[in-house]
Amino acid sequence: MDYLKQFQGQAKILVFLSLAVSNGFIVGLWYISAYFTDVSSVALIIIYGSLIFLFNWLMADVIISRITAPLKLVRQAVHHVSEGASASSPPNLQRVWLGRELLTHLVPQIYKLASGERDDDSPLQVSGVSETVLYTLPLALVVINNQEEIEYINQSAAKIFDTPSDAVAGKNVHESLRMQFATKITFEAWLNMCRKKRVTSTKTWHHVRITNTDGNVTHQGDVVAYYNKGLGKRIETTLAFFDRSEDYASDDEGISFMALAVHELRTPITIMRGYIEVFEEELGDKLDGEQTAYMQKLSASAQQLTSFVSNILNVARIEENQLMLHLEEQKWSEVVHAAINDISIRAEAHAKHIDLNIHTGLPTVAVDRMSIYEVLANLIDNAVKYSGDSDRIVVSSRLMKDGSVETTVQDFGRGIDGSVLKHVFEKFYRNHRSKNAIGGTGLGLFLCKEIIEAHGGHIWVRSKEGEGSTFGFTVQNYQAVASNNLGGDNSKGITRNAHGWIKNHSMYRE
Amino acid sequence: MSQSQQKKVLCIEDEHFISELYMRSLNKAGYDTTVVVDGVTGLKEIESDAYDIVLIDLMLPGMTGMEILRTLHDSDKKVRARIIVTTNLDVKEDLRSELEQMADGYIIKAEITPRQLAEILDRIKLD
Repeated sequence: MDYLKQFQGQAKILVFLSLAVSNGFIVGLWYISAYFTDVSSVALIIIYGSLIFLFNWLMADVIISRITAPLKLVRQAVHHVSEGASASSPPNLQRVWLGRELLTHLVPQIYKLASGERDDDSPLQVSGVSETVLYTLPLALVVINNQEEIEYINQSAAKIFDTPSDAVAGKNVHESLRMQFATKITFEAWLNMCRKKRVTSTKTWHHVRITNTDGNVTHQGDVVAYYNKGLGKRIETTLAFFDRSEDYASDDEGISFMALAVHELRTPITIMRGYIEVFEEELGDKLDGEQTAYMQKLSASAQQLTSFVSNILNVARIEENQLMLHLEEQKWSEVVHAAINDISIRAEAHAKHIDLNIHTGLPTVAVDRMSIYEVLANLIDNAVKYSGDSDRIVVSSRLMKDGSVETTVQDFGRGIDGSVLKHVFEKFYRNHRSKNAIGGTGLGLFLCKEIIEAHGGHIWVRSKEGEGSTFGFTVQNYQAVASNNLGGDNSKGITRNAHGWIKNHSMYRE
Repeated sequence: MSQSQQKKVLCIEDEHFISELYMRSLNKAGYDTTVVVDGVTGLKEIESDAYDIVLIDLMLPGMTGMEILRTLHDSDKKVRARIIVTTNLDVKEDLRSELEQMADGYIIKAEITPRQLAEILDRIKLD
């Protein structure tokens, strides 16, 4: 039963009756005034006005005291549990008649939540046997206080999180436990939400990675956290980590089912692309214009298939928390030029031309080239698909006020309906009106969003039906993120591009 | 590229169509290419130290590419060849750093054409 609604109903009846009595009083006065014809109207107004004012004031007092009576008792209950039984008396629920049901339900909950406070200061101060059991339990346990500091960490947790239990006490939990989550709602985000909005809450995360101070993954597993505002005087949260490193680790030298499936798909694509190239080289001069165009389309389609397979793999990586970016200092114009150079064949096969407009003097940026290539390829493929009769796609980059670099991919095609626009970055989302006419998986834009957000940037879309769409994203200035332990010694000597990496010491340098 | 300057490439690849394409493209670009189709023979050839560049697939019969790389890495005898992993296998993060220590390059075959492979090899600096 909704006790609040019941209380509101009772309060409504009280106010209604009070108004009825008040109105009846006024009508009664007006009726009586007919017998005092010799008194001036000014005097009547003054007398009656004063009586009405006095009566209404008294009525308001009665209404307010009745309606706020439950609030007073709730306050009394809170004071009672927070100051201790000796400091104040508990609320007497028999003294209230309006909202008594609501109170009899609410007040015990206040005592229940606060029950931990009247125990010892910390629930960890338990008998010797229990304490030993907790400490030696083969399950990583961490207890967190209301300052988001570690109050207690057992032996298993100290080992898994690679942090001595005595040194970590009192330290910020998010800094001390280096956890990487596969979902956007991380432990920190969940805890913030709980502390603002919840009294109790439990949440489980799968595929959580634990890293050491060098950023290398040492354990993988599941995390379960329990939050309770009244767990103890300071204690609010407990966290358990279930080590599933063996389950989550690659079963056969890093070869997962997805990796194997992708391998099997890529092999025929490699062969197709190879023989198409042989045909282009051998027959290049002998083909007429139409045949050359067919060959271009064949080549572009094979390349598109490669991108599609990469998209599937990347989405699987995101879902398994395996998408790791290696941010390195890069010249943005070089990154964009290299990607466009490669992708333009797909645009040209569809008779679209890419105009590049990259501002000069852009700062170096912190990006993972392979991932950024995926973003540009997906946005341009999208622009090609939705360009309609328009043959122009514009790719522009400029410096933003906050030092980041914004890049936009603009087409002048059919545009996107306003109701669809807010969903375009969702996984598997495709515009129902276009999905029969235009091929696609609904993965590309989702992937772009994930990659850009993992870079610390943001992605957006602006569109008008019939006029085209502009997709834009930002990447961060290298200097702005250089302090965040960019790359390791290993990555500094490696040049990555869309197709893999080659160590710099192996490359010619001018 | 004259005969004396011709770089020798060993391609360890069990997929016949791919090795044929790579051999054609690399020979056309002036490389002297040898193909072997299994890991054990591949390791022997690498240890003969007769090559400038080794292209090595990861999924190989006999001995996997990772096993070859680990054997070479742990061996006292170092080979002069630049070792480039050419594979369609996506390695997970934990193996990625190991691979970076043992190989000079990592290329996804489906992402490049044979001509692009030759262009990448042209840019590799040899001792």
